Amino acid sequence: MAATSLDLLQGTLDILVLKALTWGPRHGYWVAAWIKETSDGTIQVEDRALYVALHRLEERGWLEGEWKLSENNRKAKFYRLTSDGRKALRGKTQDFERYAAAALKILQST
Amino acid sequence: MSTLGRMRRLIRFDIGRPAQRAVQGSVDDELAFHLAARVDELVQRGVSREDAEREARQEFGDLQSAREELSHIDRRRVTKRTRLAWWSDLRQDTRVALRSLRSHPGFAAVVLVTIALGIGANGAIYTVVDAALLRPLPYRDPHQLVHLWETKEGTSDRSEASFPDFVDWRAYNSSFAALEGYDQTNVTITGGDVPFRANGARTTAGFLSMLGVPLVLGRSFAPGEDGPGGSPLVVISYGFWQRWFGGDPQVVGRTLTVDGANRTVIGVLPRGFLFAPAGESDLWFTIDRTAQTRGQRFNHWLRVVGRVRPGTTIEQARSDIGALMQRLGTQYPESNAGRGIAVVPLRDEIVGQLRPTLLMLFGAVALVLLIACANVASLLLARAMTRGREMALRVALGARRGRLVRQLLTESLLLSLGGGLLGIWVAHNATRVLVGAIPENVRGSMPYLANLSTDARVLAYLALITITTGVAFGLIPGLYASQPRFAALMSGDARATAGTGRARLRGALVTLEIAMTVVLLVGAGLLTRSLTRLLRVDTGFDATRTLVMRVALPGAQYNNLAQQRFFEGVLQQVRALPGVQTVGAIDNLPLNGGGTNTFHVDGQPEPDPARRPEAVMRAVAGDYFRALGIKLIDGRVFDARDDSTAMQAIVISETVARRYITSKRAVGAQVRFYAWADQPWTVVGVVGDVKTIRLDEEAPPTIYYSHLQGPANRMSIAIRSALEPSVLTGSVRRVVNALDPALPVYAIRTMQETISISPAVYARRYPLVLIGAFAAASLILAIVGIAGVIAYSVAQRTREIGVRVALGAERHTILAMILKQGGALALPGVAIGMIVAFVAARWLGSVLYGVSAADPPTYTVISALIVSVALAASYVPARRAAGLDPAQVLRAD
Repeated sequence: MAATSLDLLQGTLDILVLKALTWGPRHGYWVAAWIKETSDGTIQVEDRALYVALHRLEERGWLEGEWKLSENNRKAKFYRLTSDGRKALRGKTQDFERYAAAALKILQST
Repeated sequence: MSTLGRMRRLIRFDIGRPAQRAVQGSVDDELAFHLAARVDELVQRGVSREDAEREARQEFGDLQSAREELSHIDRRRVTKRTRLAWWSDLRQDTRVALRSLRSHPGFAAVVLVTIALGIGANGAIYTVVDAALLRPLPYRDPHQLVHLWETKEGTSDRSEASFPDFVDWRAYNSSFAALEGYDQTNVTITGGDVPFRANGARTTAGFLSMLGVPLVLGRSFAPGEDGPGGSPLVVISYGFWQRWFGGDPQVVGRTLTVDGANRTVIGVLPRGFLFAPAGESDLWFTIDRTAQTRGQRFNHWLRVVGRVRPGTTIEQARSDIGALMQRLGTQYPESNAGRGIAVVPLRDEIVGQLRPTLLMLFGAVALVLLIACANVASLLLARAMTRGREMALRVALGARRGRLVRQLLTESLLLSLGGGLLGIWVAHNATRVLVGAIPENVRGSMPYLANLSTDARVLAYLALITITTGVAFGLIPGLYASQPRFAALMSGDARATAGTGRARLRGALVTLEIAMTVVLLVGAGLLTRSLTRLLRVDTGFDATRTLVMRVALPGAQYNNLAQQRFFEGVLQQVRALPGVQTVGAIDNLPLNGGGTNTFHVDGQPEPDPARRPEAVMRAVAGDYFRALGIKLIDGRVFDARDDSTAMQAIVISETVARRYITSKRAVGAQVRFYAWADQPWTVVGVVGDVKTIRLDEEAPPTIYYSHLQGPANRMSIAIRSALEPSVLTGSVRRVVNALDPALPVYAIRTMQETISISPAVYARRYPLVLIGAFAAASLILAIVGIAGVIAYSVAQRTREIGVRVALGAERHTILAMILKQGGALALPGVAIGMIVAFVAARWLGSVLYGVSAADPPTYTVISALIVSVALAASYVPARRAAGLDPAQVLRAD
């Protein structure tokens, strides 16, 4: 198992997944690779946790799964952001920014 | 899988199961893709395929548990989605159905009323049938129990047994395990706030044990306790135990004051125990041990119930005891010549008279429901036809057939649920009406009808009918309307002739329905005519402004002299009340039946014992004849002179004089009664005939005597007065209670009420209410049925009619054409109905009075009624057909 250089905070993975899918319908493998790449390898998501997140978000109605052919002609499950999902991402991003700013403020206080 | 899991699977929402099975596969595919993509990437980086596969799996971690977790989430999601979709579909279907029903309020109302009538009538009849027939007799081995009656050769009369006959039956039969007797009584209970009358039964000692009823407390009578010299005992009903003794568990051994004498309670009967032939008896005693009648073979008063030995058939018992009775006839020709015995299964005795009626009603009502279903199906189908274009369009736009069927199903389920609720309401009220239509005094002998309510089982039965009909009504037109062929038909393919067979079937159903309506209407008509005739019969007395009420004196406190003094005192004081014109009393009012006595007229030859003159006996007091307006024809009525010291006097009815007394003038003749002491009685007067026994029978020969010469302990006081009955009742009660505060005054009614609750009248009024109600229900259904079939046919022939109109057919020609179609449905129905009614009316037999089963006016009026109703019902769709705009009809194609 790949080591996670940063333990993901509760709920953070959901935001990352939703954000990844703003690029359009993508499959799970792409989402994992994108998160790792975009965070310059800082954030490595455990595969199993990623899929659980995807399925939970689908259950909640923020994502919608559909089967399509992948870039190398394999049948893959693509996830699409629903309008509910988009709304949720906006809300969660704001929450996260406020949270991160507050946490940073505490850490930088002298 | 665990048992719990399996159970969960079983009860889980069933819709979407295939989708759930697909879940596992989809998760596997997704994970397989992930691993393959990772392997590809690693291979591209130069890792060997084998190492790449191992590494990819290692990176992923516990694949198996991930697979399970993901599947679990997905399954949950699928279930939730299907359920949501199901509910939202239902909401939508319901909304659409409600909107569409609201826009056709007439259609909705007709369907609702039809279903409500069908279900309501079924519920009510089922409730009554259930109470009367389906609940078993609550005794041990009830099939062994029989009721025995004495019969008289050449008549259909049944009478009670004489005590000596009963003793001989017991001693010499070989087929009964037990033979026990009972009779009914009512008594006054004192010791509470007010004295009250209670119903009781007097039995031989083994009666309750023979029925095999387990007592709640104590015991029933032991052998010998009905003999002379025992202590006075009483067994009480559960209800009486609760009401009077407050359910005291120590009640056994307590005393109860019955007719002024103390009795010891020895047992309590189980809750709900009932011996219907003895009415609703609260108190059970042993038979009167002092009765002189115990020795008299011609005095018939004991009702006998027997339990045949196991293995003996009722047929064997009948022939055994019949032969025994014949021997008694030769042994005691004086009293027993020509007497036989009838052995009737107890069940028949209890529900016998009601059974064929109830079964017939049950059949009729089931038919009503069937027809109601057919009607509604036909209405829905006609409606589906008119909505055919909508359906065809929706199919063309890609609506799934299941979805269309489901929507129609929702609509019909809504209708049937609404109809079902209305129907339960109808059933509830109809049951009350059915039971309420039985006069109170008759209901006493059918206690199983008391407190009837539509219980849970009946509701379940109704719910089943409701849902079944709902599904049936929805599915048939739904499947039919969503057929491709149907769509083709609606899109204007005139060659499609689907449904002619069905149309014919519906036509036949309507014809049947009309026939049944005719039968019921003829029955109701004949009964109505019988009843009006009967109520116009000369009763021999004047029922107007006469109030009657009953007083019974307890034998233990009143000897003969005291009884006479009491009634004389009451009559004297009531006569003095302001507003009272005349007052008298009699031991048994007219129309109430009563025992007869045989007698001999002095100076006439002694007849054969079987042909002795016989008359109903009545004791009277005060101005009885004037109070009831009975005509005096010759001689005089009784007065105060006719007391115990005077010559024994009788007043005879006209029929006695005419039939039995050969001398020129009956007044002055002397008669001797075989049952009484040998002194002669002198006829002092002749009065008009009165319907002493029944309104629908000839007035029987009747002999009256004064209570001063033959005391009576129970009398009905008859008062002719212009006063309000309630005012009068209060005054009389005060008079009675001033003389004896322990006496209840009961059975208070006017003579008109006495007539209307008399057996002859209710025997016709009750079936009239029932048959009338069914006739009305079935007439309404027939109207709906005709209208439905005609509307359907008009809908189907829209094009044809359009073409006719376009080719110049007049509106009234179209109207006549459609009306004729309605007539064509009705006429065969009327013809069949007439024939069936004509045959069936014979079953009414003796219930008809003064009218023949083939009464022409009844048949004429009813056929005219049905034909006009059929035409009226066809008129609405006919007018619609006549009003069709040809241009629109034809352009629509």
